[in-house]
Amino acid sequence: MAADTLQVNNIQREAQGQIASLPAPGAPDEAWRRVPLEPISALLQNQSAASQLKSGRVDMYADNTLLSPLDTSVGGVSPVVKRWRELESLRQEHRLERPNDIEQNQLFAYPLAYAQSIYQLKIAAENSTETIQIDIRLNSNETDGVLTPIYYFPVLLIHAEKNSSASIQIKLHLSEKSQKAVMLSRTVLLLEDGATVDYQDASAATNTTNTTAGVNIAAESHTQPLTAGYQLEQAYLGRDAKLRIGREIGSFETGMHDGRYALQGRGAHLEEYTLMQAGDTGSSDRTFCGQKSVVEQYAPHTMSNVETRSILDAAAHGMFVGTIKIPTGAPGSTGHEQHRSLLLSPQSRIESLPELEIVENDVSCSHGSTVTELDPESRYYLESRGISREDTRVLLTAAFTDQLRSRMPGAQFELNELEYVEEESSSE
Amino acid sequence: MNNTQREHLSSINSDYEELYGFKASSDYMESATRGLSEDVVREISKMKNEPQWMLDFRLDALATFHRMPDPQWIDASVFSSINYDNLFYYARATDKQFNDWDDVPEHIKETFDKLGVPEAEKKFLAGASAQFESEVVYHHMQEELEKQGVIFMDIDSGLQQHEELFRRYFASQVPMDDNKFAALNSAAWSGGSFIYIPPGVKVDIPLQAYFRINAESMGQFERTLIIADKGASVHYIEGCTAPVYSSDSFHTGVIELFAMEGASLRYTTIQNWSNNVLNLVTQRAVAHKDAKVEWMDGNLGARTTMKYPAVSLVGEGARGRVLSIGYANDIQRQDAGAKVIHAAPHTSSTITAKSISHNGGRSSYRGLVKVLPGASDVTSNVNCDALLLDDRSRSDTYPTIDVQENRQVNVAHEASVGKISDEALFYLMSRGIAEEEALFMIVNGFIEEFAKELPMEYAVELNRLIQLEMEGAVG
Repeated sequence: MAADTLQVNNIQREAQGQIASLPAPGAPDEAWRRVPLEPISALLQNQSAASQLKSGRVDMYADNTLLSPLDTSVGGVSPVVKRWRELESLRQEHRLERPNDIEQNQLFAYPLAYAQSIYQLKIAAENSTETIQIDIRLNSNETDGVLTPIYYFPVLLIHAEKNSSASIQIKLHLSEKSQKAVMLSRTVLLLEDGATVDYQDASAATNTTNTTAGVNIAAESHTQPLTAGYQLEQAYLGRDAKLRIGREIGSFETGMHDGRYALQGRGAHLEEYTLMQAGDTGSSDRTFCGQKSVVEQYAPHTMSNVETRSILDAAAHGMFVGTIKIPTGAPGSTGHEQHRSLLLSPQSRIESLPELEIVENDVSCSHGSTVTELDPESRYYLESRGISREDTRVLLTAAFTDQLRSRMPGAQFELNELEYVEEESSSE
Repeated sequence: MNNTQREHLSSINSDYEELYGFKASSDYMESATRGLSEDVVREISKMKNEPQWMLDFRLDALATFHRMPDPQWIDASVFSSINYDNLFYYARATDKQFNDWDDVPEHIKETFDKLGVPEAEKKFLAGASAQFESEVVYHHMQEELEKQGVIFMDIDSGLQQHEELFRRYFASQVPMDDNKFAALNSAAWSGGSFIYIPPGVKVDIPLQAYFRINAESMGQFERTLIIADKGASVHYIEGCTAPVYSSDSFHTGVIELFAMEGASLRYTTIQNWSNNVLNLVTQRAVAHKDAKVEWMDGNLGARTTMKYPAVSLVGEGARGRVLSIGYANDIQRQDAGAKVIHAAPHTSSTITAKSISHNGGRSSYRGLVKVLPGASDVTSNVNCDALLLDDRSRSDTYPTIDVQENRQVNVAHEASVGKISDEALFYLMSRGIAEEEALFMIVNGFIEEFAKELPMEYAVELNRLIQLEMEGAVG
């Protein structure tokens, strides 16, 4: 990527300058020290050469119309970036510090520094209750079979104005096949007072059929599997703002999602449902999927509910680091966090770190974490009724995932697993 | 919480000065040297007449200590107040050890009398050990146990008299480079207990050690080794206090427990150091086939505590249990937790951690449950409950669950944080119980799980630390 093709504005220059001063991803951060970084080792080892790395074009469409990139012609800071900075400095004033929680590592600066376009989506109160489909198209002119990875840096700023509401669905499309691709994305959601956003992030979702089978997870997904995807997300919620997130992580060989949610307005409400899956992708069985989710509740009567489920097969490695932070000044708040994991293979591994940092005492906070295999009694019950071992596995895994999916925004699936089992049985 | 409640809770440990804060004369410190150097380490080893391998071990550990960084999981401010050069690393108040309280020099005996140690020994202990600064000054065990082959002595005598046994186990669970403070202890260790229970011997009455820091800027580096051989069982209790000084004292212990096949080992600590003591302890246990190890850990005192009792379940059918309560008041920071490593099939573990933070105190649970490949049929349950009594105090929960096996594995973790429930208070008050008493009952109920695990008499000791003080205030 040549520097002269970039639309360099303040935010990009700033991000480029930040890279050297930010800590490298890894220890002592409890989440990032567990994340495999080989796919981006070239980027991390030689920061100065980052601009010479091969990068692909990222186009974002909202309902098939190309989104407008940030206007950089005036050289000043755009209103959305200005608002983002205001909210961030407000957050910095009250945040609870901790030595081994690195809020931003170098990876946070790369997408801003090297994205050809920074896209923004504005949700106005008058266009409320619409469903917006965002298609992120990753394009590269490279030929098949290249050895060095192509980097993609999608950056999207979403600004939901006061009392607006929208349902946003994110999908990812990779144009080229059989190439090594690495995505480093950055998403920022600003929800003003009274805004309601249903945010369905399917950018890393897998093919449903394969998902429920729990095997060959990404082999036939709708989009070409990426070698690695590091998704970085931040959200700021104003008074009575409501953000409901449904997310699936599973199509990467190495997939990592880092989200930080600041509930800054009284009565702000966050729900985050994540389904993580990793198994044999066909090209590798040592896949990784991870999630770091930090919920910060700064205002009174805020509410958060984080629920993550992981299914790990083959030699996959999963990780969940979730933190609820409630500093003083947020009485009447509730925060709940739950992580459930299903290990399908003896070689699979899960690491779960559900954390709480609470100062305000008039709160109700809890977290729970469980790790199990498929319930032997349920398996016996189904198998004793003539259902094959594989179909039993499909059914029980589906029950585990669909329970969570039914809570996600835009849940449209139908519980038709019995039909699926029937179809499978008749084709034998 | 209203002002009355605040006052009552503030009174916990408010009479610490009176009960434990007294100090005996510390003339013996005149001959002690400050700071830790190779010479000091050599001197300690020489005075103890140690074999060469132990001196080499200490010197290696000293080099390791200088090389190692401070732990990174906690803020650096915790360590900034430590002035290693100002500390005394070794001091002894008497050059002899006694097995009769009447022979113990008066000023030392007086200290332990006030703490109630001789009285407790008479009433409910099978053996007692009392450590004053760096050395054990009193040691006594019931004759009957001696006849059964039970070894209960101070650790220095353990090295002298049972070197082979000692060497086999020493530093095998906590290597010197485990962490910076384990390295410091390995270099400067002095005092502590050495216990060996022969196969099949069941010691029904607890053995106790009482650790007392008396002088200012004292560093106490106790080292304890307990081995329960096949089918044996033992309960060891440790208590700790110190007077309040303006400059900090330092307690860095290393405790290693070994439960052989079918053995049962329980280690109870009621730590009530004064709030100028830094208490950084490494506690680790290994449980072999069908063995059971229990850590009962009460952290009430010390300015900063960093203590994460660990159990490695290495034999089939081994069980581990950690039950802890922490109370953090004012400037106190209780960074406690538990670690359990499931390294064998059919193992189970339970961790229960309860904490009360009050008046600006901060308590944390930092834990690890790890299931290694091949450890099938494993059950682990972790429960953390925290009470936050005001909005200046803080409660943190940092658990880590790492599961690398899927066959019949069931690992669950639960935690909750909140204030004393208004409904519970209202319920009790609506039945005619005064608010203060209702509050006391709720706090009492919260710590009951821990108190009921102690021997009856020891629970009374705990009462003296928490319950009676509160009751007095409420009364």
